[in-house]
Amino acid sequence: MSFLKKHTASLRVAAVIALGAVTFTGCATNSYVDEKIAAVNSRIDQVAARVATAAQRAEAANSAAASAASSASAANTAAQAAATDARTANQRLDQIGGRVDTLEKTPAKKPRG
Amino acid sequence: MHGACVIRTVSKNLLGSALTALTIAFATASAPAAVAQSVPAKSSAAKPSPAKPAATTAPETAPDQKAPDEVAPGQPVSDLVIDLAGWVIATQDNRGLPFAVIDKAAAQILIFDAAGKVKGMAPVLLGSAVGDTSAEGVGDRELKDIPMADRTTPAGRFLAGYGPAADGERVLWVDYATSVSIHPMPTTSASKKEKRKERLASPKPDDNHITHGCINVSSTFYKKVVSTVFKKKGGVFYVLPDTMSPQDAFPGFVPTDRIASAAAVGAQTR
Repeated sequence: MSFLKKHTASLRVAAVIALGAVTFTGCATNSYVDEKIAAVNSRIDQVAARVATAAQRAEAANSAAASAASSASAANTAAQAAATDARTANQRLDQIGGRVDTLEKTPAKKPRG
Repeated sequence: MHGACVIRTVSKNLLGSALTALTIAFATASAPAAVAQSVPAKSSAAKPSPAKPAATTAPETAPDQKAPDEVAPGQPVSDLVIDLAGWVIATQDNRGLPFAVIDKAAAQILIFDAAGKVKGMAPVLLGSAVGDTSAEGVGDRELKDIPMADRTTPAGRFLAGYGPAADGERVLWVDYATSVSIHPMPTTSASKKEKRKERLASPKPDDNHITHGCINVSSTFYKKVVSTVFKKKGGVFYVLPDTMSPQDAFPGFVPTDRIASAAAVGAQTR
C-alpha cells in the first residue's frame, strides 16, 4: 500500500509514456498503411478509369459499326467485317459454353507447371 | 513536494495530449474506410436497402476497394490490355462471366468480375518459349518430355473452369486440351532451382517466362482473387499474343488505333 503511495507519480509517468509510445507508434503505422493503400488503390483506380473509357469508346465504335452496316464505304466495310468477326467469335464462345461443366467430368491430368 | 506537483501537472497534461492524439489517431484510421465506402456510388454495401437493384446500364468498372495490386511499382498497364478489357465489357464478350486479361509481354494478369469491376492485378510466370499456339499433343506429355520450343502459353480466348488434376487436387484449367492451368507458384525444389519466387518478385517482366506453359501467380493472389472470382462458374481468359496480331487472337476486337483510323477513313469518305 505504502509502495503504491510512494510511487504513484512514477507509475503515472510510466503509464503516460507507455500510452504515448503506443499511440504514436500506432499513428505512424496507420499513416504508413494508409499511404500504401492509397498508392495501391490509386493505380487500381486509374486502371478502372481507363477501362471505363475504353469500354465507352468500344461501345461507340460498335454502335457506329452497326448503323453503318449497310453502307458500301471502306470504313463501313471494315466495320461489317468486324461485326461479322464478332458474331462468329460469339457463336464460337456460345458453342463451348458447356465446357465449364464438362471440365468436371474430364479425366484428371497434370497441368504444365 | 514541489517536484511531485510538477510531475503530476506534466503527467496530467501528457495524459490529456495522449488521449487527444489517440482520438485523432482513431479518427484518421477510420476516415479512409468511410471515404472508401462513399467512392463507389453504386455500391450496394453503402445502401441501407439491399433489395433495391442497382439501376445501371453503363459498365460498372469502379474498382473493388480491396482489390490487390501486386504488380511492381511503376510498371505500367499497356493500352492494349485496357482496350481489350474495354471491348470485352462493351460487347459483353465475357457472357456474364468473370474474366481475366493476361499480357504476356508485361507478364501481368488483370482480373475483372462479371460486371467488369477490377478485382486485382498481379505479375505472372508464363511459358518459357515464345509463341502463341500449342504443339500437337503437348498436353499429354510429361513435363520433362516437352521440348523447350513447345513450352508456350497459348494466346487467345479461353473458357476456363475448375476440374480435377492428376494429383487429386482441383485446378483452374485455362485450356484443358493443352493442359494449361493457372495455379499458385509451386514450392517444389525444381521451382526453387528455377528461382520462380525471385522471378515473380522481380520488377522486370523479361525473367517471368519460365514455366512449361502454365500460368503461375503468388499463392496470396491465387487465394484472394483467382480462386475467389472463378471458383463458382469459371470465367473467360484473354491471353494476349507474343507474335500473332491481337485481331487474329480475338476475332472482332478492334484496338483503339484501328478505331481511330477507321473513323478517319470514314470522315474522308463522307
